[in-house]
Amino acid sequence: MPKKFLPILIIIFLIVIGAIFYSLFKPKIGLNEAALIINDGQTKRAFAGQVIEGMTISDVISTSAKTGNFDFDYENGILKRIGQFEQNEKKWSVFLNGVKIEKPLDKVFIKPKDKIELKFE
Amino acid sequence: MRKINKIFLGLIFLLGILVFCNFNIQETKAAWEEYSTGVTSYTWNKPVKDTFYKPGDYITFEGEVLISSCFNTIDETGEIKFYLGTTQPPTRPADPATYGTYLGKKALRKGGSFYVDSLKVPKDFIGTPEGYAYARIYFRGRYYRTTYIIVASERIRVNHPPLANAGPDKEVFWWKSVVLEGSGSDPEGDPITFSWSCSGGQLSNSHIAQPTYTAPWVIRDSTYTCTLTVSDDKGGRASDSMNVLVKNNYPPRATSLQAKLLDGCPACHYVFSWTFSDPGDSQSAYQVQVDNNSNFSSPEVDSKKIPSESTSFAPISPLSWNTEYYWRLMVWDSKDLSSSWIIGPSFTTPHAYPEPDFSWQPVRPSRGEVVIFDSGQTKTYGGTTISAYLWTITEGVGEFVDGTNNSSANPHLKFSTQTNKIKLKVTDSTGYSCESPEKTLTATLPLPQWKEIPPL
Repeated sequence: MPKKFLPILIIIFLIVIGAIFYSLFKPKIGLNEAALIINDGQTKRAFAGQVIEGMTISDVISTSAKTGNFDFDYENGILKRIGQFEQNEKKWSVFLNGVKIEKPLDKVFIKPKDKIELKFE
Repeated sequence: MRKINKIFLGLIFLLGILVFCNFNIQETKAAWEEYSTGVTSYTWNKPVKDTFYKPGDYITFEGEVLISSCFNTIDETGEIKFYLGTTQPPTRPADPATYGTYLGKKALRKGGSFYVDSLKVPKDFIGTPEGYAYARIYFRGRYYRTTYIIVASERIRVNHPPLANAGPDKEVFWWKSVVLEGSGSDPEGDPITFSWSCSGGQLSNSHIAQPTYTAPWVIRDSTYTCTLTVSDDKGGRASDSMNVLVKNNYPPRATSLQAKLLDGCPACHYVFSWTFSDPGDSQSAYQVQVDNNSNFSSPEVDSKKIPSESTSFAPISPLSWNTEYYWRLMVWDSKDLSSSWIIGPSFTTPHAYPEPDFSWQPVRPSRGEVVIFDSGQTKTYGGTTISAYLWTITEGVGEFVDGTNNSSANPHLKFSTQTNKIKLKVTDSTGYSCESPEKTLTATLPLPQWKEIPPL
């Protein structure tokens, strides 16, 4: 093999190694799991866990709050506050698989592989 | 010869008299009208000139016609005729029938004054605004058998009186008021004034067409007559009357006035009640005033007049706690006759009732998780303490645990249903009780524990 191909091979090797590492440490959602992403505009946090029958978005926020050690206010199916981010000029919007949710959160049931995102915007 | 001279002188004297008379005749003709031969003077009486007459009035013509002494041969059947017209009469009326309205005639005595009265202005005479009286003397005599002589033409004023309408009869209860529906007008458009007079009762203003009549007190039904007089500025006037039937009606009364605390939770609400009293009649309205001043200078509650047969009133706005109040009542019967103010017994509101409030932990429990309730936010007043608690689960299923029960101050519960409603009733040491509004506790399913992962 000509020596001139050696740098190219090294680059290809590093890419392959990186891809392997990424696939090993990439966040994974199990088959019977869903995910919650909280985006307050400054930081992002994500939670994942098992979906049980009758589980709603408000349940997801409740159980994630225990794990993530944050508190929140929730009135009449509307999310008012998470941690220090209380709705004022900005509001908490809820998306389920990219679709904005307008219904009360305790009326929206989730299923495995769902992705719930809370955006403070 | 001397006899002839006497005869001659006598003839000369007679001729002189005739010449003198002819002179006088000529002078009289010049002073009066062409045909007023022999009339030496004439006067109208003043009332004819200065008075407004209305159709139907009698005009008194009075005057004196002095006739030359030369006309002592005038037939004693001379007469005077009177006409009334609306325009200036012609100076030489050949035919008296061509002018005005014939009023009548009176005999004229020879050689002296005449007095004519009671000539009536015709009802249909239209003398607006003024008419003329025109009098003529008609002689029948030796020399002027058929001559019309204009004695005078004088202007008299004729005024049609205004019209008065007192309006329909009225009925009213005593001390009540009713508006009289009078009206008036003047055919000539003259300014008119009104004047009312009644045989009983009071008028708000007797000089307007439609005054308000306030009925007097009567023992039994009584009829009073009110008369409207309408006057114009020329002295014309007309009157019309109507009757007011004033019915007897005693004012209603109210007894057994009571003020009771209706509800002390969360504010001080009272109810005021009474018994209406008016034999044979019923209540049609009431008014309640409540004030903390006995003179009711600024009532805190004023229901205004409420058309209702109800004999109780509960103000919407609460009263202040621990305050002395005065209240009074006025009631109306079915004929809208009111009582005077009836003073109710004063009362003092109690100290404020307790205000129960509570919270729980955890705020969002899972089903089956122990929830600890806290009633520490409950407020008491007047130096009292809470003597009793009563927790009620109005919706959902919860179980008191850890040795607590529904009368504990801070009970512990486990809920097995998602949606649960709880309320708390507390009683303070003076026995005042209040119940809190319901609060909703949502107990979630036992949720699986989620893990935090790197942001996706």
